[in-house]
Amino acid sequence: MSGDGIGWRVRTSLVLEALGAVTTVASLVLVVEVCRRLLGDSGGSPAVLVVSAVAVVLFGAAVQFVGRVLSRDAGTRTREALRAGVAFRLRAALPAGALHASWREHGTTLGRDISSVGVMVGRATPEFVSAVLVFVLSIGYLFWVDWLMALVTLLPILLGFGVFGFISVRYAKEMKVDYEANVSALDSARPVLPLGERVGQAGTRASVAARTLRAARELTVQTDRFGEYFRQRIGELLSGRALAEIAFAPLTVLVFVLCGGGLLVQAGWLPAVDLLPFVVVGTGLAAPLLAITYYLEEIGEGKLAATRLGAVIAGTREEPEPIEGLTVPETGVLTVVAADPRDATRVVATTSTQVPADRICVVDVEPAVVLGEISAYIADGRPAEAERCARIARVHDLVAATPKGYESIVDIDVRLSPAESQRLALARALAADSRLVVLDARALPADVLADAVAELAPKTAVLVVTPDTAGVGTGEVRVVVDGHLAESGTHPVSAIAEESR
Amino acid sequence: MKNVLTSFLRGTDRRALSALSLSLVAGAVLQGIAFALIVPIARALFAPEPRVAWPWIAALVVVAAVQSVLHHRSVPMGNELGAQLVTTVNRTVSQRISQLPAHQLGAARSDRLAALDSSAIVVLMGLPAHVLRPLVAAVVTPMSVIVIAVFAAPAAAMLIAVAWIVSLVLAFAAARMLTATTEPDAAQWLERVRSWPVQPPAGAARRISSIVLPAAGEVLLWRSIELLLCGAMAVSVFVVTDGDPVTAVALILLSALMVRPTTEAALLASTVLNSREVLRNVGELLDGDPGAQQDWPEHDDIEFAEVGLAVGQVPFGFRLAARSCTALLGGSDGIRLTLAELATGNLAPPSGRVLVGGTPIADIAPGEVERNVHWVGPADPTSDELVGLPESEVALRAAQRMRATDSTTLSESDRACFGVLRAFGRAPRLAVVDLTSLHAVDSELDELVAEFARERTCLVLPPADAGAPAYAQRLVVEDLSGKIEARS
Repeated sequence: MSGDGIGWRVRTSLVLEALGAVTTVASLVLVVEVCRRLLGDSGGSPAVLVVSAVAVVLFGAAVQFVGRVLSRDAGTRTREALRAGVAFRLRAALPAGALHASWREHGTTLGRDISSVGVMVGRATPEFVSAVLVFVLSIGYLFWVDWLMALVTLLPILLGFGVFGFISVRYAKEMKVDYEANVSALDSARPVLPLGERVGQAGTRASVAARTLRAARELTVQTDRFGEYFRQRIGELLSGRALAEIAFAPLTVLVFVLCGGGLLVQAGWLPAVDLLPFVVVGTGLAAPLLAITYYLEEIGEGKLAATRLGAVIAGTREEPEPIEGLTVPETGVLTVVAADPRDATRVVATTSTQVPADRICVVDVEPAVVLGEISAYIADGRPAEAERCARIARVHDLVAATPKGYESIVDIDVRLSPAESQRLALARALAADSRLVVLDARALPADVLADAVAELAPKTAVLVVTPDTAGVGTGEVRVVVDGHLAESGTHPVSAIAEESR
Repeated sequence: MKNVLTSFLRGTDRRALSALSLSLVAGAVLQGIAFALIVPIARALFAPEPRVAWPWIAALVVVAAVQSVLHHRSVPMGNELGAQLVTTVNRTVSQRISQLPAHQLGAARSDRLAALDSSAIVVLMGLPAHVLRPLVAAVVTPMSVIVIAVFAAPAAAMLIAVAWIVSLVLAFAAARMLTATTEPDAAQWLERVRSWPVQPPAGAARRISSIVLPAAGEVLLWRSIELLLCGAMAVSVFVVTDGDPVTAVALILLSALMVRPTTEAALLASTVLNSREVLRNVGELLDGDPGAQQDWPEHDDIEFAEVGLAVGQVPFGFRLAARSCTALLGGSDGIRLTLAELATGNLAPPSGRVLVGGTPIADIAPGEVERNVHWVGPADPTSDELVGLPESEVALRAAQRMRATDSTTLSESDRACFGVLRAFGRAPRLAVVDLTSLHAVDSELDELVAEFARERTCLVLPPADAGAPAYAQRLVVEDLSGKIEARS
């Protein structure tokens, strides 16, 4: 994504954010100095310092504004890049099986994930940097003024951290498993639409409506359960968190500053005027800390989302266990007879991983995902070739009957059934310049398959996976039974293939 | 978002809400009182003869202790309300979805429902207990300081009040800037994927609204507080104190403390924006027209009246008699499936109406439609027993074969067979049997569908190249040149 100008924007925004944090603390230091001058602790006119404070705030505002524009822009660009990446993956020639598997795993969360990564880059990270720096600079300044008083100021904050630590340990020991189980039950209530239903293939609306209705009912049940669990268990834990919030509150810090500072002043260990920084800066120490916990949550979510999105966009294919002795052909037609659908699926998966993704076309048993303009989907920029291949795949009549023909956009101008999508996927495979074309016979009628093989055989290697011997043509034949290569030979196949049915 | 708040207030324990509000306001007022005590404390501490004003500090400790107790007690109340908020909102969403006709339950609504996941629920639950308190304190604490100052120093009170009003106006402006634009949600951007290019190039106007305004809002929210503090400092130095530096310092300290709750609230901007996104999503889930909620008609013939599938298309119409079986033939699978989706109410026609027994299908209560309409297609076996099978040989034979077959090795035809067997148990009045994913229909499946179609209004969609089944009337769809015509 650095190519989209995101990297330099993020880096520059963080530098500007750091500068903004310095000005925030500096303006408070100037407030303290104005007070000192008013009390005659240091020489000079307070008016100059007041003007300086205003100038510092305005400079900080300008710097922070530029930083935030850059970080917001980076966030928007990140979201756009991710959307384009997912869209590209949905429209690319990834084998449908892998695409559907990836969608089943991550599809429901894609929208939220993209938003989470955008929030992480555009909002949470700069604000986190700002909050951390304001805290560190403030505490550094207070230690510089008086280390003992700084410790007194930090005391409630340390107590708050102690409570947080105690809560975290208790959560990990007593509630983590329960909580995660409840959250998981809640998440499992979400409607998960298969990819075909999500992109609106014809004939899927009834299923989408039924899933949505079921999910809504289930969501109520699971939310009620989660609400009860929250009241009984988590509520108790959050009461503990309230103690930490109280410890971090400016009022609590003020009490510690005045009580501790009063004792130190009375004992003569601290000049009264040195209490000023602790009232002005010290009482604001804890506010960024609470915010930091929220930002960390957002950054954590963003990182997890980025990992999930990365897997979808990269099209990471799970390496299936190879079938010993079964290699993809260099040329010609190889027919693999696999009566068991699990064997057939494994054959497609293993052979698909032996060839780079951009050099293979697969017409899988799982419905192809056809998006965008039909002509571009089949053969981008080659309308004549798109039509020629559509004719071979016997889908030309369908396309020609639509008002916009090959310029029709799927699901806007024309709705396709899964079977029709398969034919378009075949047309795309026919038009592509691939090293290998894998055709699953379960996806196509026998006559269409035979024509496609005849067209493809002279120019590329073809692997046909078929459940029976009915559609086997000329060329090499392999028989796979129970995940093993049972027989190799040339057509006609032996009795093993017949028996494996 | 108004509809979300309305539904929450309708379903929430008002007393609990009042108790929490009172507790938060009281806590914020006490915080204001405690902050105001800094004035006598500072005046004593920085006087020419400095002394520690222990009585005032003791008063501060007592007020802070009471405020802390209120804070601690308000958290369980907030948690309870958070749980109520989530359960109420989700029940309302579920109720609304169950009232909507099937054609409004598309992928977009499904995506929005999916976005109501555990993260969203946790965000909503945290609103009353952890987000509301800083927001209330940011408004009420300065107000209480102003009220106290009216009695002690009216001139200072007036200036503080002006500054506070300015800060409210700035905060409002910042909030408007932060919420000026909304990112497309999952449903919206996935819709855009369908047409290429995915995203139009960002124009200058879009950049300003989506980047510059929120950035300005964030900076304004944060820096306006600092500027106000500087203003308060200047006023204290030059105007109010009238040559009394100790009072000036005390007022500067009071100003510094007064802006703390606002700073705390400003730091929560990101969390508030996340909550807003969740509430916006819930608001969109609550949208939709539930229709007239009528019963399923006794005489359920299906009529397509002047239906057009696209703008400008010549409308068409046909009628399917009640308890008849019709095979939809010709045209593309896409057109046939679309007609079937219209007949079952899963799609709304762009023009014209689909009537069941004279009633628009969108006006029939969704529960009635769910009970009476079923889409039958290839299905994966589940652990559920097959129920409601007729005592016919073909159904019992098919069921026996299904039970004996390894569920992982089923062909598409087997899955279709299973889908039909399972549909007997649903006993729908209107059914669509979708066989478009098959290359051919074997005799067993053919007999089974015939058996299923006998007692109901049934639309059968055979495979593209297959002919009409013997048990069904033929309805041929012509969809050449964008014109649709159905003829028996």
